[in-house]
Amino acid sequence: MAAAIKTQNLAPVKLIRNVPKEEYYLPGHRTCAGCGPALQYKLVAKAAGPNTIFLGPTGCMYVANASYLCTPYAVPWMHTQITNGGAVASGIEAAYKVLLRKGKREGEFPNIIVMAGDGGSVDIGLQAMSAMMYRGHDALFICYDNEAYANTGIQTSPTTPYGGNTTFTPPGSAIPEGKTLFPKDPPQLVIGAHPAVKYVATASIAYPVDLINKVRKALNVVGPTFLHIHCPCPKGWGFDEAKTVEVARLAIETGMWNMYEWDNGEYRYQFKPKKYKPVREYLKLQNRFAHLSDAHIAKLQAFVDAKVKAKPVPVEAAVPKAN
Amino acid sequence: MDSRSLEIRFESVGGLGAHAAAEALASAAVLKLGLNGSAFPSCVPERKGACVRSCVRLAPPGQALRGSGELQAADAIVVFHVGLLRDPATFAGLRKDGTLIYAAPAKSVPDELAALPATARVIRVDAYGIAAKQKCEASGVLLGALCAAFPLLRETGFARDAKECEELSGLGEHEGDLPPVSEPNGEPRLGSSIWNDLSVARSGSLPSFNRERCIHCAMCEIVCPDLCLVWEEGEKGGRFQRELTGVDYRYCKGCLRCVETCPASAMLKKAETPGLAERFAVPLFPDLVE
Repeated sequence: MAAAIKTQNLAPVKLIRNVPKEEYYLPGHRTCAGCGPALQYKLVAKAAGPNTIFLGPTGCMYVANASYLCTPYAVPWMHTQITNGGAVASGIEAAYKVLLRKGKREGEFPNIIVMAGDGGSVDIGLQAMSAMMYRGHDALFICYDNEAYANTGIQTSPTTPYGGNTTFTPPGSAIPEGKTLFPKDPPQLVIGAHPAVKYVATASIAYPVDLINKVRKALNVVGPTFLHIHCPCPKGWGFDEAKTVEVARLAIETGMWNMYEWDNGEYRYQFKPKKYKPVREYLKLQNRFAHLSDAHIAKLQAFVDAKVKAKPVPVEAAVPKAN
Repeated sequence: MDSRSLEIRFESVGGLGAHAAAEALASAAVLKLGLNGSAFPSCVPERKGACVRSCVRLAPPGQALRGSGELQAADAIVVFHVGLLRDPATFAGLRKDGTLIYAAPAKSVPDELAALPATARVIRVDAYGIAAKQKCEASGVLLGALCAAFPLLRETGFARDAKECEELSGLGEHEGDLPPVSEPNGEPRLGSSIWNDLSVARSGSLPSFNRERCIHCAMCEIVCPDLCLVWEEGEKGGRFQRELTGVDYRYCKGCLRCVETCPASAMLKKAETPGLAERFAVPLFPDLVE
């Protein structure tokens, strides 16, 4: 049924100058200076275009954007509880299908995008997200990952890296490394257990053209899709606001973040460095890792080395040029 | 203290320590002075650079404090950032015998203070200058100035030397109490966030744009989370599809990511002085925002 409704084909962009100039995420929002998630939101809104419905589970991108009676969205947007982003997306998608089928609404089936934080997707919001994907609703679920519950004061989330200093994992004499657990892997969680999902990708604000293209590719797919977007948070991670993009790029260059697409069973990698930089270079920019000793850094390095090697054999593809 | 509770509002920008100061004051009032006290932020105070408001209510023992709504009227208002005075909501509800304390260097007396009650006390303290000199937090200096201004609060242990403060007189022109926050002139601004002014979020520097050097590559645009860069259509038959004309400082939070990214040094970091942003701002929505 869905296939008969959705006919759009958002074309990929090649260069920054081909990026559409129209904005659907307006200024005036009350995010922190140098906010990574806000930049990501702007790029996703640009890529998706005017025929879009955003759903905002509670998180920074709801609380800081939609403050008392005003929002920065130039497209329809709706707040959902942090637990049920996926459920609301399912409902809207199903309702739209019926309205279009019965002729009560005209026009193209909209892009339905859930803009959830790491908490709203793979922690508190996991059951609704998983259910939406299991049932095969035609919506894009984005997890913008700033690796903590930043809006409520930087509490640890399942995607906070090992050794991260958050208000729930403070380093001290008993637990010198801060967070002792290694993070969840959201894209593998989606790929591994949701047969209806045909497209999953990771992206980063360090490579905006790649991010825009991945959003467009995901929106062209009929059925549930998932994007995991790396968004450094100057306040939560403790680095200079001007360095947000540099930190995001270093995450990729050190292997802390891996850029890939999973297109119906096939892996394609982007921006895979020939030689990874040591993790230490990424850590030293951020206050949240300032307490780590050499032994802890070695443990994190071993984790990253294993992660980089453990990926399935990649299908070599044309690597887009770095911006 | 009379039978009425003492109501204090901290008006600040996230990251400056207003909520911590409010909590410290209420705790000290309860533990050291034996008063009843409560401190509460107006909303989640976690966004660095956003306007935040923290309220403290103190009452004599035996008088219970009920409710934790935002304070509509106040006996004292402490302003952590001089830019906040541009918004009348900052000092709304100040009682005619109230006290306004603001952080600003010597001789800095904004015109907006004329809206205060004529009978109110106005105290200026160079909190940031003192904090830089003494290597302490400016929020502590402001808290000290507040405690020095109220005899009741001197025993909290926070009070600082009153010589650091300057009491200004003859500024206010308003008769009686100021109307509370909920009664602004006209309707609240609903709908889009483009009417918000976020200038106070900048912490001392801004990007200054040099059009001669600009190659209109849009690298700044693609790293700016705040959409404060203003573009126009390029000249017909010219080299550029679109040309950058300037920055709308109304929305710029001063993260300086554009400065970091610019390959042609057309965006440079500049220390912000009063009036600088207004002089060079290029409006993004000239038809909508005044």
